Amino acid sequence: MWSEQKKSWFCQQVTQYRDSLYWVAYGILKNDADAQDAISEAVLQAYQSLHSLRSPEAFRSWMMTILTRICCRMARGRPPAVELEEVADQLAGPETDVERSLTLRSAVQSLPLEYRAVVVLYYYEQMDVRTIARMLEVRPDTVKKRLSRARVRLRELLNPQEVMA
Amino acid sequence: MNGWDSELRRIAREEREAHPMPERMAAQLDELLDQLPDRPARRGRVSAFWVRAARIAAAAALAALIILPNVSQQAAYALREIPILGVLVRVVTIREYHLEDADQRMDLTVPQVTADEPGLMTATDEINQNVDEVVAQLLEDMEDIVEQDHDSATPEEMTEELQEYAEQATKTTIEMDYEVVTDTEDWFTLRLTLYTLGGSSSVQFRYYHIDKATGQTVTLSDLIEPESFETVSEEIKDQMREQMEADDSVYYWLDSDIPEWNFTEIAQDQNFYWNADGDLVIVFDEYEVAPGFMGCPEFVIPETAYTLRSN
Repeated sequence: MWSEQKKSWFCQQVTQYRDSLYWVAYGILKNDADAQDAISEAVLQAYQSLHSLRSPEAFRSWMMTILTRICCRMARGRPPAVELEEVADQLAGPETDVERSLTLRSAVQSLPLEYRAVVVLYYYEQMDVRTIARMLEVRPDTVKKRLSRARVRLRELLNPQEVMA
Repeated sequence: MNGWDSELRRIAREEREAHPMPERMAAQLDELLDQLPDRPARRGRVSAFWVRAARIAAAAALAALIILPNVSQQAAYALREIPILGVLVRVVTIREYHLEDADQRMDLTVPQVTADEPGLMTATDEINQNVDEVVAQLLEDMEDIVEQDHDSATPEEMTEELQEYAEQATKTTIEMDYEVVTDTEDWFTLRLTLYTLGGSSSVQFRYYHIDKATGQTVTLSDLIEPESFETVSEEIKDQMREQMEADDSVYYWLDSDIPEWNFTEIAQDQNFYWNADGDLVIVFDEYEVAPGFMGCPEFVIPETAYTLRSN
C-alpha cells in the first residue's frame, strides 16, 4: 500500500504549502526557532497519520489543522506576549509603505494568542470562519467575536489618529 | 468596519507575498522531508501507562449507578491513560470498577476511545456511548441479581455451615474486559467481553467498528448487502454440519430437538471482525447457537459467500 509515490506526493504538498505553514507557525509563535520546531512536529505527525487524509484536496486544511493545534499548544506554555507599549513606540513613526507592511505583522504579534491565531488564519491564510472554528475547536461565533475584537485592536494600533478623532 | 476589513486583507496579502518561508528554514524542512521513512510506522508502541489513584467522586458516581445493599467501602476506581503515538483511534482511558463484598463481585475494565482526527469523533463518541450503555445495563442486571439473592433464607435461619455455603453459592461475579482486535490504516475494531459468573454464567461479546476511511461506525448490515445475510448463514450452517460430522464432541443447535433454539440466520447486528488474514469472521455469543461447553463459536467466511456494500 505504501510506496515511494506517497512519500514524494507528501513532500511535494508540504513544499507547496510551506509558506502557509511558516505564516501560521510564525504568526502564532512569533519567532523562527519555535516556528521551525512546530512545523517539524506537524510534518512528522501528518506523515504518521497520512492514512487519515480522506482526499488529496483536503491536504492544506488538514495540514494546517495539525500545525495550528501544535502551535497553540506550544504557545500556551509560553510567557506572555510582547508589551503593547513597546510595539506602539515602533508604530508611532511616519508611515511609508515599507513601514506599514512591517507594522501589521508587528501589531499582530502584540495580540494575545486567541486573537493572533484567528487573525493569521483569516487574513493571512484566507480561511473561512467555519474552517477556523474546526481547527481551533471552538464555535464559529467565538471565532467571529475574536476577529471583531482583533480588528478593533489592530485599528487602534495602526491608525491611532483615526481612532482618537 | 468593512473598509477596514478590506484594508487588512490587502495588507496581509502584501506581507504574505513579501515574506515567504526563510531560506534557512526551507532548507531544514527539505532535509526533514528527505529523511522521512518510505514506510511510515503503522502504529506506535505503548510508551508508558500509569495508574492514578481512586477518587471519591468517581466512587460516588459509581455508587449512584448501583444501589446495592452492603456495597464494599473499598470500591476502587482506577483511571489508566495509555498514550499510543501515531495511532489515530486509540483507547485512551480505562475505567476500572472493583466491588466486592459477601454477595457480589464486579470487575469491570471499561475502555473509552478517542480520535485526533475530527472526522472520526462522531464514531468514537458513538462507541463510548454504546459502551456506557452496556455498563449501565450490567449494573442494573447486577442489582436485579443481588435482589433475587437476598430473597433466600436470612442468615439467622441457617447454621454457620449452611450460611457459608449459601454465601459462596450466591456470589455473583460480573467482569468486563476489552481488546483492540484490529487497528490498521483503514479499520478499527474494539471488542468488549462480558463475563457473568454465578447462578448461570455466560460470555458475551460486543464488537465496535470504525471504518477510518469514512469515519463511520459499522455494523454488519452496513458492511454487506442484504442478500448476503442468507448466503453467509448458509455457509455457517455448512461449516457447522462439517464440524459435527468430523467430531462427536462438537454440537450446534442446528437440527436439534428444540426448534426455537436452532440457528436459522445471522442477525443484522451480528458480531464480526476482520482477522489477521483479512477474512471476515462471524462471532456468536455463548449459548447463542450452541450449548455453553462450545464456548463462543467463530466462523471464517470466504469472500465468495458475501458481497460488500459499495457506498
